[in-house]
Amino acid sequence: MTNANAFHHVHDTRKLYRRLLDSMARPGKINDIADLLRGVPETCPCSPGTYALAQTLLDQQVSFYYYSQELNADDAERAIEWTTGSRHTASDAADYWFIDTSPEIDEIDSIMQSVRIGTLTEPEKSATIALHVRKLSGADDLTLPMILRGPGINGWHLLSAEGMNIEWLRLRSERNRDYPTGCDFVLFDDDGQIAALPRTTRIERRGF
Amino acid sequence: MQAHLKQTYNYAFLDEGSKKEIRRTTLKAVAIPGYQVPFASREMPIGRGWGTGGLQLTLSLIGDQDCLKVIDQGNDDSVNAVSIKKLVQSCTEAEVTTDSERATLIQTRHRIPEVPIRADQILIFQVPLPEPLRMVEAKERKTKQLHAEMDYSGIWLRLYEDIVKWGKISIGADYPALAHKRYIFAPSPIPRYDLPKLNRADGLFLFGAGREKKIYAIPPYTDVEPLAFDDYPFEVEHFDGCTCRLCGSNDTFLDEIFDETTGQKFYQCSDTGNCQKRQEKRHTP
Repeated sequence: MTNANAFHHVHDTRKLYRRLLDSMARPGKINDIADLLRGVPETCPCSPGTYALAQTLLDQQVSFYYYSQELNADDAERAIEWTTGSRHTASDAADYWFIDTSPEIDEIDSIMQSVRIGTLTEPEKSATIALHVRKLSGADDLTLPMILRGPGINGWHLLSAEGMNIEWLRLRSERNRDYPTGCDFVLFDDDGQIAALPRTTRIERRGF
Repeated sequence: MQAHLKQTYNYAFLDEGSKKEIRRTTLKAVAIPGYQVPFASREMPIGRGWGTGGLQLTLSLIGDQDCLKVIDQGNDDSVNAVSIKKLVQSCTEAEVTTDSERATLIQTRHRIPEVPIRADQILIFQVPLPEPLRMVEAKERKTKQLHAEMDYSGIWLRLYEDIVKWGKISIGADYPALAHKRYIFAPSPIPRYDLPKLNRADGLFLFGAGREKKIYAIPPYTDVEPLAFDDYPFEVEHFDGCTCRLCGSNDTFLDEIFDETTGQKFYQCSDTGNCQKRQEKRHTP
């Protein structure tokens, strides 16, 4: 017997993809995927956001790296491997990163040093980082407000995040210095809100 | 006993693995405006070169809530557009329309609808030749290198030679343009008239080349500059003094139709959906 409300591998992945594409095409625009996350099995050892994004993006053709400080990180890795057919791999070889808990500053540093950014001939051979933050908002009300500019944005766009270390932004701009190489970020929060920061987006921290 | 075998396909024809690959490629394409991202390009029930790239993009996006419009040179009723719509309808519950303002997804060959694309719509282009540098360099490995190094002198020289030879740039449709000040891309064979519609638009534009196995994108509010010289600026087609014989419009892209027996020339809107709406408006006082 199948649960009718369970995360649907045809329709829910498609709905999530459409909202993710909208967020990627309009950097900083927050899309709500909470309705889709309700179908994620409760026994899943990773966050519902990671599960749903992994189901949407991963299959046997790509690899991923899962980071979490939780004790059951190994279970989460295996669960993603089993449900998607994708392989967990060394960090510097991963196509997709899932960062489920907030790492320490030196860990952020090592993550950003090992993340693949592609080459000038093949900038698409770069990694996408799905980063779990506590909260996302389109107003200036959280600890990390960002002003975004670039393709997909009419003038500027405000996005603010909580539970996201500013070190991510510093290292991101360092790694993305040589466009078109660089890495793309997908942010998702506890309430099922997602936003994206593709490599073309320039970020100013408010108050700088 | 006779058994009827009912062939059933996956939702939206493609298998989930193929859709995932197209989706991953599309997300990368959006992140690098104008860069042609290679993808596997599946076999489709229509021949390569007949819109398979656009069709694969459409199928990777479409759901039951969507409303699809398919146009071929602006025309909703051409054989290819109708066949593509029928195929999509046979494997989804999506609605189809000829009204570009009702559609959520518009798949097109060689035109952009007259009514600007909104933020909640996606325009999907069928692309025959995605490589704008192919006219100056035959080898794929070389053109990839030229893009990597942003070495566009070959194509600029080609435009310059045109001016020397003909006094103007002779490229009509598929006029090359620069995306986000980085990549020269082929906008597919849309007329020059449509090219400025890509610049800093509200909607998302996706390009699929099935035979050449490339996907690329122009996100909203992205700079798209047609290649031109200061003293030879970019020009669009003009239709001064011509009006559509059906709806009377004088501000749309017109097709010239020639009557062989009388030798008469007519002009008529290329965007048939928009023309139909204008005609209805004209007849209802």
